[in-house]
Amino acid sequence: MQVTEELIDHVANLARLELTPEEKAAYLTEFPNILNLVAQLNDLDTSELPASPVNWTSGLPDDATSPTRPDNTETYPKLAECMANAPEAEDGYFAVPKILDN
Amino acid sequence: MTTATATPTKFETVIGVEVHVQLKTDAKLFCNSSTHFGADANTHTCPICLGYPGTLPVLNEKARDLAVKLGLALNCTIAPVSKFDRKHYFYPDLPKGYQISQFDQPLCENGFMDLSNGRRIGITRAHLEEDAGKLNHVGAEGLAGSLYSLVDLNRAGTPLLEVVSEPDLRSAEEAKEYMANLRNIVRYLGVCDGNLEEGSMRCDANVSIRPVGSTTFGTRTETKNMNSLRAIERAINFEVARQTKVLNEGGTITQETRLWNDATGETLPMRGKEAANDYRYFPEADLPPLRIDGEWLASVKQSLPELPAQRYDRLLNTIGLPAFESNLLTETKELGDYYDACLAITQGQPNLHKPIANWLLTDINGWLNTEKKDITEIALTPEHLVELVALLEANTIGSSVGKKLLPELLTNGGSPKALVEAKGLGQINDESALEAMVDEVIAKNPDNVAAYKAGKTKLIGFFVGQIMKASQGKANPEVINNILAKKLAE
Repeated sequence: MQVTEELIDHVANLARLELTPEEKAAYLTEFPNILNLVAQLNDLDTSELPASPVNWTSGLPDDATSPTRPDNTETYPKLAECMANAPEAEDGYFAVPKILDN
Repeated sequence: MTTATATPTKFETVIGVEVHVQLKTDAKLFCNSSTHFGADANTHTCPICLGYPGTLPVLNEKARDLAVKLGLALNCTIAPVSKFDRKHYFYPDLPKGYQISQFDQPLCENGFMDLSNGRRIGITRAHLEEDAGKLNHVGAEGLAGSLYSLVDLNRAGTPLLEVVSEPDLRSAEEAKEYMANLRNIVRYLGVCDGNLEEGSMRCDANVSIRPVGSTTFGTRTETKNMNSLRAIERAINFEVARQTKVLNEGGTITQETRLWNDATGETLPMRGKEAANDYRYFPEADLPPLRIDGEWLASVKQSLPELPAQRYDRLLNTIGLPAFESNLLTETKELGDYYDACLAITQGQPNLHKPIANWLLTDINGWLNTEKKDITEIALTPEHLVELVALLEANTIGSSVGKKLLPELLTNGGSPKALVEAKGLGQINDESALEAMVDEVIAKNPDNVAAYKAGKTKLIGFFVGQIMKASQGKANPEVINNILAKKLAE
């Protein structure tokens, strides 16, 4: 994969990160290194290895089943503490900065 | 001089819809917070739906059950193993920074729905996902120009089944019917209240046009914010007209999301649609795969109630109602249930089936419309409607008396038979009594009798009307007609 400045900008934008020119320059070398390292795994011959007991995509045992719970409601007793972590609140709402630039 | 005018290209409309069906559970999809609407902001939340680190989602089994029911009703294959994925995007209504959804292994796939014109609409998939919260923008009507926003996460985590159709719909009317059928199906199943106005079913329409005969798709737009069946039809028609104009003028369609404005009757662009891979889907490692047991699935299939299409078939083919009446009686589950309750009482009296349907669809429905009520709010029980129709069919009362009694029966209930007796409204079928009435009216209206005899035979209606009035609606109009015709011919 060709790592370009545009790709760095795109990934940064998706993650809502603002990068300095120095950081961008650093990622331009670090990104390909990391990708190449991972790509090397494709060259390994794994045909002789026993099947893994874990599904490496989900990180869960292959026969894992989603537990379920009954449809019962519960009021969380410490809601006030949850709200207390909000940087800004107003009338029980979380208040967030302006979403669109004018 | 001749002017060459290019013939405008004939276009075909291609529509696919995504419908978010809010599943009728008490608790949210992955936590025990309530889904009930109308509470104070953020009081139906907990660390899980607020997206606190270190919390673990656990699937609500009722949401799974309702999703499977709807999937089966839409003729889908239910995956023995499906999985959950994280769909990433940043917006203040999404506390975790990702939505738990199903990406490459959805719960339901490859279904279909048949439309009344015989066309089969493919259903690509239906997958479980959680809803986002709700934003109130401060300082402006909407998002644009607002100073800041207030976040209510009561809705965050509410279970949704997103039903995705194939791009098989070819007109706004078809899309509307598809949506109406889907609403009817969710109501029959009881998996969702099907209320478009309140957003418990939300429809996004992907609309594109292409030259007739073309097999590739044109660039599509996605239209949101239609809060009624009528709005869906209008929004799609607007979008088709807009795209047609753009292409005919040599322009190109931009792939974008557009918002329907019901007041102005137009769609406006919202934001450029992110390509699917921008959501950076990856498996939700906090939730093991969802496995559906084959035996359990078979038992759910067995327990499905009769669906609208099946009821329609039964009313049409087994009961023998005309297509029009069969369709109307299927349109809402409640009306169909009421009719079915009447059918259960009239076993062995098939002659009553059609008149009961007629009374329900004309007089009772008319009254309901005027009173702004629905069938579940009437005091008249199916037993008593059957009794009323039986009185009419036996000519014990005339239809004008039936119509007169109806409002009282619908409001207060009670036995029509008892009411007819108490009010002395039984139909007069006795010929000699009716003859006396006819003689009286003829004697009182010599001018009209002369006119009738001179050829104005339509005046028979006048005479019947006079007698009905004099008898307070109790005279049997058929018998009167016969006597009148005989007497006036003398």
